[in-house]
Amino acid sequence: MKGDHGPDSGTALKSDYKSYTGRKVIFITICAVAAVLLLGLSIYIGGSDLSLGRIYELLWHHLCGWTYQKGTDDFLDDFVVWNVRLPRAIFALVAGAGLAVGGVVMQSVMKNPLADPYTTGISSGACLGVAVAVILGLSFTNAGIGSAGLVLNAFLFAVIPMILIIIIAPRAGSSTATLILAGVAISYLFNALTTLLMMSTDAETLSLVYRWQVGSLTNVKWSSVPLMFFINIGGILTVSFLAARLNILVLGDDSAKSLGLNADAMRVLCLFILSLMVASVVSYAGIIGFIGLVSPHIVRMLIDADNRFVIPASAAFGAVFLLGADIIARWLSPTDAVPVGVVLAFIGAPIFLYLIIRQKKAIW
Amino acid sequence: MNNKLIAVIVVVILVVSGAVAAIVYTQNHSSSKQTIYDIDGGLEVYGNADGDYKIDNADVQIIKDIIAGTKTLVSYPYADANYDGTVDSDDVTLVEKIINKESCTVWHVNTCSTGNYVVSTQWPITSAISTGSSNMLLLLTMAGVKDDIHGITYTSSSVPDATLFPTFSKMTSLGSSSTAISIDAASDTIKQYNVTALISDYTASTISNESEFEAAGIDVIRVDPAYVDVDAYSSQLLLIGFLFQTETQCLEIAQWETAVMKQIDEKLATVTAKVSAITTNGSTAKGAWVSGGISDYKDVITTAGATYAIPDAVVKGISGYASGAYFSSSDTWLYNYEFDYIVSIRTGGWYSGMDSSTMVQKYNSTMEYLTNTEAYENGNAYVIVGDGPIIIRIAYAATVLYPSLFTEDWANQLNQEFFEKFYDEASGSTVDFTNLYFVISKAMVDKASSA
Repeated sequence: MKGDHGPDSGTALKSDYKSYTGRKVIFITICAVAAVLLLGLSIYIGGSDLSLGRIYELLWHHLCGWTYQKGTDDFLDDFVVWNVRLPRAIFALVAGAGLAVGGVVMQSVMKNPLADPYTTGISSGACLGVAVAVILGLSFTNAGIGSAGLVLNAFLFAVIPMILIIIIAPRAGSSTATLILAGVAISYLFNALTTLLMMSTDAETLSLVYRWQVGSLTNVKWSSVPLMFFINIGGILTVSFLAARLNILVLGDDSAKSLGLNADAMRVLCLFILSLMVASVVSYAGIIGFIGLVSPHIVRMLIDADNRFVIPASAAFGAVFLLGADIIARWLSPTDAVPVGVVLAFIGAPIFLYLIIRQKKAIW
Repeated sequence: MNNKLIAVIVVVILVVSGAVAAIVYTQNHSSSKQTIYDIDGGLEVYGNADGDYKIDNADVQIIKDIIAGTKTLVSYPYADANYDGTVDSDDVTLVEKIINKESCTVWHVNTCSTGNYVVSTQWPITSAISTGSSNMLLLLTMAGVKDDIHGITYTSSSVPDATLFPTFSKMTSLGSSSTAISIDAASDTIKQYNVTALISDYTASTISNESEFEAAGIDVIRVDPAYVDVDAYSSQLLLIGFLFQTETQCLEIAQWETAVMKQIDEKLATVTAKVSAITTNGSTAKGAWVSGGISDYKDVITTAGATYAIPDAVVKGISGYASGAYFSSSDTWLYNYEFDYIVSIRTGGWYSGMDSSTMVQKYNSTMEYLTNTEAYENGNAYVIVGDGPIIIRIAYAATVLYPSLFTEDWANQLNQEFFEKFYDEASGSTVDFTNLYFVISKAMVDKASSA
């Protein structure tokens, strides 16, 4: 009698595995296509009444090198599409992908389904770094608004909660909520420090720093994109390369060691990469929450928990999520009265509550 | 006899004709003279070499003198009309273009909270958008340019007063607050009306996307519409008048305001012992907002002759803000200072008319946290109009602080005169001053409450 490990069952297994993997690839592809389509929709939404055809005509002409005389309607339309809407859309796409991957990394590294840069205080730390640079003028380089120095400042201050999390995590035991409560406490601490700085400053600086606390894509320009783009794409690619090791890390430190992985070093490396990615987003757009928390969970519910697929899928899904939220924010208010952080909170908070209540360990 | 009579008649006719001719000549000669405006504020536009209130041939002469070496640029910094660092024939050409009212690029000072700076603007401006604070809309209406402003921005909770700003109150906001305009949201308006300029408040955080507008070809002009100092305010008014070519209106207002301020200063010079006061601009759940430091409300009080009772450093030390601090029911810091008067400056509805219940509510809400102060208990707590021009606010503050020198009737007459002369026509609607009042006292409130 043939056993379960006969040639026919092996073929069937391979076929099942291929179809299983295929579904994941299809999901990633769908998310990627959706992200591109939303990108196309995003540059259509705005206060100026431009048709879809007109927008793509302008884009095409711009790419072909057409220029227009200043003061003409064509010049203004081209300016709005190319300099206002397009950088914002690209920023949202890349930032959403980066923040979602940051969430995957945090959850894998901390073995905590509720961990993300927002809930663990890393975003708040980055925001404090921005506030210190802008309000006190204290930075490690010439940290003007939108400069690389500001990103560096945000990163260095994001490392502080990161280190605290690394210290607290082993002491949190098996309770997922304990680490998140610690993260909330760290967030409160850093937000309080930021508020203290805000109280000591003049009205202009106050309004500037307030925008960072809320999270908004309103002031994103082309100058905001390059640094954030390279950091986040580089971070996503690096983490994708490390995906298999992240899978091992999820098994626990002892298992990781037995499989030849230095768990502590891996953890620190991933969190450093994550902190840099978060800092680059916070420096330009402020604290944008819930993407890192929600995206990985939704992805895992659909394609299981293999980080080799979860990372690219979360990147694509996170891009869709942030772009979609920004589209909703601008559809609700063409005058940018609704920051994207507010829309994300409305969507993400109920999902967060659901996750806290259910805490589905089955998805790990 | 007949010859003598004829001779007398001829002489009389000649004398009368001569007299008539003299009178007619004198009148014509007078009307061809340029009006001289007695104001101290200067037009901060490059090309206005002598720094007075206009650009004219006197400026051309100064520029020529600098070119000839008989005068220096250091003594006349505004002589560099094209702001290129040198004074040459190009500056003469530019100034002559301005005098001849030909379109050109002019250079002028933008007033900014983080430091004034020089910008270029396509001149003259015929179509613009603006931030929508009450002071800004007042400035633009007074300057006679409301029909050239095709879009403003304001918060939904601060819609422009329909009585003071009948045109602006009907406009849809281009932004979500009075300090921010998205170029995307404004682009349809810009295209429809060929807008070339954006008039913004001087606060640096207002229109933080200034560089975006400039890159899109929209000149951003920053002015401080809340200057209390009449010369500084005149400069802002003159700049708007110059840019929009409504100089005559603006000059007349500037002169009127300067004259009123001189009148106030002359009377205040007779005061031997100044009174002390504080000012607030209303209360919220956090408490009464007591102005201080850099607040222009505080400047109104001190310009009206009072000593401000709270040192600037104290206010900032309490709240961290440079313009004021909250005083709530659990606070005690205000009781450390002695002041004779509370003069609260409030906006909202003064020129539309207030019924007694609104009046009582306005007063009580303003004084909610201040009822334990001596000034309040002595009946020296007032609420005055904050809607009108700043010179009018100063006038009403003066009537409260020094009633023996300035009467409310005097302030009311000034208020009405201002609107009749300069505002009603410019705004497109007439304010009816019948039954309007602009000072609320404790006595009025007590009387209304008991009625």
